[in-house]
Amino acid sequence: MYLYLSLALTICAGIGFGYGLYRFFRDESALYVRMIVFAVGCAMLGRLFETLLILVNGGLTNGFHVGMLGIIGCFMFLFSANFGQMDSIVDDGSKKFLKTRLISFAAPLVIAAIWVFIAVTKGLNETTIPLGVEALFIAQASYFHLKHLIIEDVSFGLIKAIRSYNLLSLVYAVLCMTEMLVKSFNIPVFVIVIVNVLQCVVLLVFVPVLERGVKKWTT
Amino acid sequence: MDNLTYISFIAITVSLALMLPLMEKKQRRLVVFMIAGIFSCLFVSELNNILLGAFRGDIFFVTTTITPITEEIVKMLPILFFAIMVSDDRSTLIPNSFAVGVGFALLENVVILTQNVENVTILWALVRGFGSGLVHGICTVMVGWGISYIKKRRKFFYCGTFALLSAAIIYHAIYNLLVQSQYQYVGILLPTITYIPIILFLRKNKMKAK
Repeated sequence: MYLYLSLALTICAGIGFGYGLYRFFRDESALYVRMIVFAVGCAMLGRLFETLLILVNGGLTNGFHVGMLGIIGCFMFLFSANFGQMDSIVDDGSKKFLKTRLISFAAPLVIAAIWVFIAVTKGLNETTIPLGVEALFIAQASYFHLKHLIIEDVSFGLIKAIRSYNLLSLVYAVLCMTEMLVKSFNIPVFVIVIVNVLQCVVLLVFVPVLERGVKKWTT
Repeated sequence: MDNLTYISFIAITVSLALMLPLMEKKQRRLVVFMIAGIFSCLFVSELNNILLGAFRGDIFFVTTTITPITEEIVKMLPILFFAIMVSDDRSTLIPNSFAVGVGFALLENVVILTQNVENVTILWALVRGFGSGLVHGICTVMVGWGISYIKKRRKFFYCGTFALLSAAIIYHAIYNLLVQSQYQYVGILLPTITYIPIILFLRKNKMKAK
């Protein structure tokens, strides 16, 4: 079953990535948008590796495997886009946004809490430590997604236009952490299926939702 | 007999190095990067031997999990050094990155050839040439593209390069995984399938720029 779920995730991410390439790489478009397309591409590569590893090896290896870099790379691209470009436009570093900055720490704290729960229950071992590294990258990206979701828009509607995308990214971060939780414990199969189906949906609509927001920048 | 890896390394790099004084700046730089790639391969071969021992000779695990990481990091170093010290111009970095990858693949292929000299065929040569040659080239170009932001946008450089490095490692690991499985023909085709759209995209951009 894991093979089919992983294959479905690969296909959905692949469609999302292909659509992103088609929409944003034909003409000149913002690097911010291209980074997000690359994030979906990285998620696709990671899932493809997992699918092939299950197919060839019969299952995923215990502990670290290269497929984990797909999630890490994906969130690193998302973090890079928000931290590297968007954040300096929407937050001038003034005291005005201090409250927003503080509230935004809620997202990484939730991510950290989920991992701490796994680590405390299962102990620190070859499986939970790589998951911790993965959680670290998810947490840092989630900070900016929550921040850009709640921050007051002073940049001529720039951030307001892509709020739904930031919400979607935050949902994806939570889903990735839920997947970690589900795989660490003996949770009924239907929960795993639901989490993976939701991930499929998010990966499919990621780029179209972003595209809808980005269109508002120019209209 | 002396170590064949070192013998191959000396035989290839000395010939290439002797050609350098006769070349013009652009061509010379490409050959220097190729030599850097060959040296990276020599370094990685020693490193991988140590790691193979540390993982009790589990070749499948090491080639699908460890070597893609070590190889991509080591191949990135000459490009990173060049971008910091000389130029971070993308039109220079991308061909140089590909040259590092090709240099790396060159020594790797020679080493594998010397180790399996009785089993190699023309088909093997085609597979290695189109397969590993392109994989190393494409992966290094991916990282080189991220490094091109080193001076222009620091924040992008740190995070983006790491993200691209992750993508290159996974791509490399997928290739290594496929060529060792019953789906090896898919593995052999994978780099060519990726290479053609990249070349078409880059050519289209070049035409637009003109």
